[in-house]
Amino acid sequence: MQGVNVPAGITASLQPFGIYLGVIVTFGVWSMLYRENPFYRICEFAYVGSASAHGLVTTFANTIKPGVLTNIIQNGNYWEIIPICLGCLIYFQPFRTKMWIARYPMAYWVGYNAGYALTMRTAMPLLTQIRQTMLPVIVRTANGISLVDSINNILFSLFVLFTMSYFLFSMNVYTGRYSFLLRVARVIMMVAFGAGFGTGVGTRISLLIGRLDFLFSEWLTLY
Amino acid sequence: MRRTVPLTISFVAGMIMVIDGWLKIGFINNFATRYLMPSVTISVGWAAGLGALNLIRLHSRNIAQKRLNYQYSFVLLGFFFLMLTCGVFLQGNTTAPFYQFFYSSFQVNLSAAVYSLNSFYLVSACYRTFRARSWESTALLVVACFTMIGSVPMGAAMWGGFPVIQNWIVKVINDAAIRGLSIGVTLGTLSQCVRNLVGIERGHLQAGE
Repeated sequence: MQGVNVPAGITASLQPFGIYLGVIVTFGVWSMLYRENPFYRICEFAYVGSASAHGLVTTFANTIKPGVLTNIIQNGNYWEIIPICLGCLIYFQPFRTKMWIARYPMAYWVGYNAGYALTMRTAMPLLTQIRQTMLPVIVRTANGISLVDSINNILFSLFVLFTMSYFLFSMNVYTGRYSFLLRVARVIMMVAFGAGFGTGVGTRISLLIGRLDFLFSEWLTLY
Repeated sequence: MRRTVPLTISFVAGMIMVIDGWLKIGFINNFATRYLMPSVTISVGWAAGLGALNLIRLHSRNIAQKRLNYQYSFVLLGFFFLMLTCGVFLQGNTTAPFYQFFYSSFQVNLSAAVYSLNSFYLVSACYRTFRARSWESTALLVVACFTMIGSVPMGAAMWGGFPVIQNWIVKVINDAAIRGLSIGVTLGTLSQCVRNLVGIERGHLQAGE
């Protein structure tokens, strides 16, 4: 299980090629901007292949290997063989006639996660969110009452209620005197989506800047 | 039998977690912490190969039947086995230098390039989005502009009020809307979990139908 040790010299001699590899794949992916081409498709398929393998290697290194070597063989936790067998039952899924066997691990995971969500993972954050929405209407500071904070708190609580009312399906708020709630809620949500969109654009632009920085500094060594 | 047993497993596993989360019953708390929680991590870890197996099956079939663009399946499988060999068989962990070389020079660069490609598409998305055709889209347009200008140093240099407005939009309107949405999502999740536990929702047990 220790694997073959690759000599450090080989790894060190490969390092300069790493930058060229990075440059090739960057241009390969960006070639899509011109049009669909084989260079891009090769990069795309290589990305899917290597990303899948990376996921598998991470699981192997973090869960499977320590589980078998440390927990079962060293510490003698033989009960762990049972969940291993349970997990392996999912491999019946591709076989049409034995597919039903794969239901057992799936049921176990779904049941566990449903139960877990009903406790600390979902129910408790919900209580925290509700508590954090109940803000003081009058905010007192050392200098007296903070009018701006008070207005902000009132607006915040109102906006939360408006947004929630948009998803209220148990009573009819779509017509009649309360329909204005929906219009206000829609504007509030669009404002939130606009802020999210703006942040998203910023993030993508920073990724692009990162790539350009890699090309100019590490490949062309301009600075 | 093929349906009742999985439903029972689901219910028992879920109820143990519910009891463990809300009540202090020694042996159940102990069982959940010592056996149930690690068993899920272990079983999920061992099941991770299913996705890889499906990937191999699909692309092997592409190659065997010489489907359209089957040449790219060679590339996919080649890189898949290269990374897998380096990570699992050669050195057996993700921190080994040889694996790290492939990961940092290939995988990381490729990933960053793919995501940076999105910024070009966002330009066209901006054009389509930033057309004020209704009240709601005007709100989105104005807020997105304020958020983008307010979050960069150039915005603050143009006018000191941009970061203040951006901060107010994010702290009051954005957070309130997201809070409202997430409370709704949480309530939906809880109801879905109850449906799963009591066996009303059985979508995940359709295998073999």
